[in-house]
Amino acid sequence: MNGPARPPGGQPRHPAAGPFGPLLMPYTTYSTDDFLADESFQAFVLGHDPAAAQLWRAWVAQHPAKQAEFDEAVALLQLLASGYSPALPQSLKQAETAKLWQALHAVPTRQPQPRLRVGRRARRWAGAAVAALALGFAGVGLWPRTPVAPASAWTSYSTKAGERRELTLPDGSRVTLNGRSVLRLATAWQPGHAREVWLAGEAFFQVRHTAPARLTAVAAAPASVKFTVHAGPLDVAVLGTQFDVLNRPGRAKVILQSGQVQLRHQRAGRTEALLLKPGELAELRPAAAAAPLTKRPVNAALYAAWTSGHLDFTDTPVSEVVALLEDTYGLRVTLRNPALRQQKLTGSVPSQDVDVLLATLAKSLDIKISRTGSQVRFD
Amino acid sequence: MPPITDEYSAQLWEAFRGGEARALAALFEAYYEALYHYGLKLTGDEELVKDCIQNLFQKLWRRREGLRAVQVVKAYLFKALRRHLGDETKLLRHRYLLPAYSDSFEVTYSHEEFLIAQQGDAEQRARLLAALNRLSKRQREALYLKFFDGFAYERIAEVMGLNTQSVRNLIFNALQVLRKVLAVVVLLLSGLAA
Repeated sequence: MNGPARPPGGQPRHPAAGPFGPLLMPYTTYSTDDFLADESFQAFVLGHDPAAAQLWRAWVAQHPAKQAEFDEAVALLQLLASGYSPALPQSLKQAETAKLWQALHAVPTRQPQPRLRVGRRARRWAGAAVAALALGFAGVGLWPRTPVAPASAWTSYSTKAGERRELTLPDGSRVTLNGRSVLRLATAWQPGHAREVWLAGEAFFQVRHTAPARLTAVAAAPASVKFTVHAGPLDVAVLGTQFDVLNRPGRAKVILQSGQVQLRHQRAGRTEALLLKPGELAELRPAAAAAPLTKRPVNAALYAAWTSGHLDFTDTPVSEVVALLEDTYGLRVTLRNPALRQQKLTGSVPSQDVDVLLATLAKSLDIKISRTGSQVRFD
Repeated sequence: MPPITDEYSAQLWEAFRGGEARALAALFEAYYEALYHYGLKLTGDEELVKDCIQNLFQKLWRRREGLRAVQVVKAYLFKALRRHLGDETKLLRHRYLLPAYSDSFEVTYSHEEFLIAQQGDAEQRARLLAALNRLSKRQREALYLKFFDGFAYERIAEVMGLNTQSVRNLIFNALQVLRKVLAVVVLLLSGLAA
């Protein structure tokens, strides 16, 4: 049978909550399990109700026949009540309280318009982003996790394929948006508040440093001086620096030119963090189960070259060019002659059209380059 | 900090609806730990829980003029956090193309929560933990709300979106299982207590 304390007649044999009424309450028929699930009895054992405690003790004194069941129930409830959560660090609570306090005062006290539930709106926006951009998981990441500004106060910039767009953000930071990309941010930024943007696609950021000069370690800096790019599954936090972020379906990369970048990646309830130094590329491979977030040194200048529309090579080894083609153009490159990797290139190549780029490379390396979809062969 | 009464919370809630930021901050301080531990129980993700609690209170503030009076503020906050975490978890799962989210959270109990030094040895503790973690997800969550947060059945029902009788049944059955598994321990303890 499912459920407590039902007599043969099928009616509950006691009212839902029991202010003590020994005449009405047939406690004399109680089993250990009935005691265990009785809220008045629980309140007595858990110490929530001193009055109940007195009455229960008096009751059991009058009904020695029930002493064994009574004691067994008390012991089990005491055992369960002995559980407690580990104490929370005071610093955490203080920081969170301060954050709330700041938010309560940042939002104007008027603003009576009712707001949509975050959950619903998030789904709608996510759906729209996926449909419009066909960006896969990257599209879902467009939705701000902690929206503070009202929906009408968001600005977004987007580019078509092959288009490049330069923007200046409210704090004076500069952004170059590559083709097929969307950047979303709150229209008004308040000084002294966290700066946040949401990116799908690729962009090069030149972020203004707003922290005091002595503050250079991004991990230790308060949110109020950080600039964060939310790129799908990756959060990229900086103080003031130059870096490239790529967030395309199935791959997310960050390439750091100067300064320091802190990456955070949340997956299945765990947060991974990674600190980048200048000249490093971090890559997120969502398919890799063990360590999806990895980093390696690259020729960072090459990765920002698209912002000017051409790649400048100065004794650049072919291996670096191949890495660039794979990382930013999403190509898979096979070299028939591995020795080619060591060969060096000098000169300027247009970077906008990948076929023009490959043709130029073929000419200067004096080899044959063929492309089928994303597969490229250097012969 | 001593727990605050339901009556006092309800008064703070009314003051907050009337535009008192301090009243909302007081509720935040009073229930932060309980909300944090409950959220952590449900998701195991500290950052997500912190974000969701912060987000929840900021949202309450912005929407205060559309809110109604509530009887038990703590239960209202627990329910709101639970829903919020559910939405966020769904989004995360979607993002990583994980299988669709199942409707209930996975509550598990850990050793640190039952360091009942004076009441039993490690073996008894292990037995209790094993028994707890073998219960159904809903039973584990209902027991947590009962014994860690002291909610009445009616409030557990509110938080978990069930009816009161279902909660009563969940807990009745869970305690019955625990009693059987722990019969030896309990007899020993009641012998000591007598």
